[in-house]
Amino acid sequence: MVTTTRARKRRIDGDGNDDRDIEDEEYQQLALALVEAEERRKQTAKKRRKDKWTRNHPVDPFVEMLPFALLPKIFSYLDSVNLVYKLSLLSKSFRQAITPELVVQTAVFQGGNPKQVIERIMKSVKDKSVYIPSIFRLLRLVNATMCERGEECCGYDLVNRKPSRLEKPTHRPFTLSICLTCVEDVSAQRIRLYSSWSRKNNRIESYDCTKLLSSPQVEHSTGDDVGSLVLFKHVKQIEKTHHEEEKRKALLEDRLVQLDQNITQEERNLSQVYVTAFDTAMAQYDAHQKRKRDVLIAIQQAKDSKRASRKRDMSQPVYNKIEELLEGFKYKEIALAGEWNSAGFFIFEHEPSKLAIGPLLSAPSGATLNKIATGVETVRETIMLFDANGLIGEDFPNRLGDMYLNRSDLRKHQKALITYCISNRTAKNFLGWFHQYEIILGHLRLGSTPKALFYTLDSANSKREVFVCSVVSNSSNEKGKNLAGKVWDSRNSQQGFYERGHYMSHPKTFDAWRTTFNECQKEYRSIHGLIKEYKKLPETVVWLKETTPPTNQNQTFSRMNAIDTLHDFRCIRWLKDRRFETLRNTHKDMFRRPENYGLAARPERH
Amino acid sequence: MDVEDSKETAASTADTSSSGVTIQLISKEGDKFPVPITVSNMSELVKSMMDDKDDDDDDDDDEDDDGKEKITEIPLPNVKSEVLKKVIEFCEHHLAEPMTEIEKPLKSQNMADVVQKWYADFVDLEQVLLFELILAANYMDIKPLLDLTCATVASMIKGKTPDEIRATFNITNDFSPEEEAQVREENKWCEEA
Repeated sequence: MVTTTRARKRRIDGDGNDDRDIEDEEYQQLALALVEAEERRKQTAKKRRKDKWTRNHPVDPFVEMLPFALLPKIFSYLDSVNLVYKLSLLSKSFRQAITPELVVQTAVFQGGNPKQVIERIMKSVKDKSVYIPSIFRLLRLVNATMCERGEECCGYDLVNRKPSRLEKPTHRPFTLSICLTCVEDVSAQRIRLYSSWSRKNNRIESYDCTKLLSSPQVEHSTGDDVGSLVLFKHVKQIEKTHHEEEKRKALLEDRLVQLDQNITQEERNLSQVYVTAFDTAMAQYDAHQKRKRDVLIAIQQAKDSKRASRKRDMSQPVYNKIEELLEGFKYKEIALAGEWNSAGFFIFEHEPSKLAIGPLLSAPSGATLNKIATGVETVRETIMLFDANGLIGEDFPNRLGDMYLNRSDLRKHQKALITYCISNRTAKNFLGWFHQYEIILGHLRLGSTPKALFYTLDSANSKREVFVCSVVSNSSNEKGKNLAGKVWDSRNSQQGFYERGHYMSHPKTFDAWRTTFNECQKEYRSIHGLIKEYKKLPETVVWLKETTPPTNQNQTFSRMNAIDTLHDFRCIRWLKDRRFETLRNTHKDMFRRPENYGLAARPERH
Repeated sequence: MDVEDSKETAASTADTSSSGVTIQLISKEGDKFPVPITVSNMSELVKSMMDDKDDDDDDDDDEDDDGKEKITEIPLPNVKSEVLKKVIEFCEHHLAEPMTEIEKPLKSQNMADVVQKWYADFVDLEQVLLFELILAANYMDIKPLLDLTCATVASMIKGKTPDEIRATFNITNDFSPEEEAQVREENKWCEEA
């Protein structure tokens, strides 16, 4: 049963008086007594646990020869200032082995908060703006978690008897371990300090660029002077005495000479040791972190490699069985093409194997003989399907051409697909991954090779290219290809998407593509006919034969160049409307001022 | 393996040495370990003792009265036979495969990440023997062995709590009550106080 403070108080009171009868002061005393009792109980319990641990971990009596003289050397291999702090509490010998270099270097090498704290403290030590902390004070400052003012702390908890925890773990204002409330208590704020002459002097330690320590600080437990050398009053007195900056600086120098007399030679030497150790450690910090990272990476790689090896050992028998079942198959090499990756998985190169037997190698524990046999059979069937349609084999693409291009029952769009694939595809392409793999296989099974080929076209551009190559047989006819492309794009600009910087659309099904193909072919032929007609018109012929030079003597843009813009899509609207006169006037204007149409550079003005 | 076995091992190694010159290291128990001079010279102590002997014997012949080659004996009264055997094993291997320099601070708690596997296995010893090895390395002034053993102890300290360290290294709390109170008072504002 939990006994509350109030309940205990009632029991102690004895006469049954109500809580309200007890004076507040008595209540406080009682509460403190109870807290003390609770602390004693906790300490006893801790000691009991510790004794139990020691009983369960008997000490070897022979292990009493740890060479204490070598402790500094042993400690020099450590990189944790938290551990050094713990070691300092173990015994006198351990405490004596702790050197200033060890404290500074372990704080740097530990990284994180300790590194930030030591950086701040070392800046003040280098600036000679603070009293030099002793080795153990420095160790405490780096490991501090609470306000060092103890019962004087403004945030002291009167019930739990503990000072405030440090709100900002890396802050050590004036090289003191004090909470932010205590900063207000021990410092004085100068509003104009930020822009004042004194701010420029590194030897004046300030917090937040505005606060100076207001009174000398002493560490109660050791009696050491701590905190900043120059106080608020020092700066204020100088400012009251002189107004000129130079005189103020001179007075400050005099004051600093006086303050420096408080620092002993021993402390000066210690500060030199700190600074040297700090600079050395900072120079080695990155290299040390890299070494640690490298070790972690190597450990991870070793783990991965072990896991991969185990995985491969499990998968290898399944692979061997597959290899055995594929014995004698014409395309065995294609079926088994692939490699073991670094994770111990076998990655098949070709899609038929990847789909049918890949999962068996990825999860070998579930790969029964029956499943392996079925998988291998599927691979054989799929690959032979491609073979039967002339899509793989050493004689690709000749066999594909022989099988389809001479067939009279194939329409133009179907032959266009075959022709495109002969010039732009390899046998390996057909064994790769396709978005609509099952549909392709379905058409191949039905013998509809052109349809299957359509679904292997993986981009809008390839569908466009099939059309362009079909209507412009001469691959060097750039004008024709350009026009054909424009015609295709004009039909496919609705509900499209961006690809390679162009707004594209493409028919998703074979039937839709066939319709578009036929419509575009019809339009292309029509425009092509109109271009021929326009070029043969007598007015056009006469204009082409004119010899009047252009206004700009340096112009290289000819009349024929203007006519060539007919393949450009901007002229097609007038062609379709048979507005040949308008078109000719435009061409004449183009010839006169090609720069207005972006067809030539603007002439230079003299 | 007992001392006799170890002596045989050391002797056989000495015979196969190409240097030809052999010296006898004598352990605390009086056991003699013949080692090639190249091996023994890894110890600065042995080396300096040899130099001193050379100075003393400057005028003497290299052969004794019976005409046999004189074998130098170096007494090592602070080193037990068992430990000396390990020291010789280390020196012999170091000549064949020098140990990687141990960088400070340690990059890993696992010694195999810090030095070659042989050396990591070499110091995988019982704590008593490891400490005796540290003492021997310090006494005989063999820097690589001292580095290796000290780093090993540091790696043992690294992953342990204060209680474990106290138990492992048999550290008795030698603070007087006043000193302990003072330490506690000083460290009140730190986590572990």
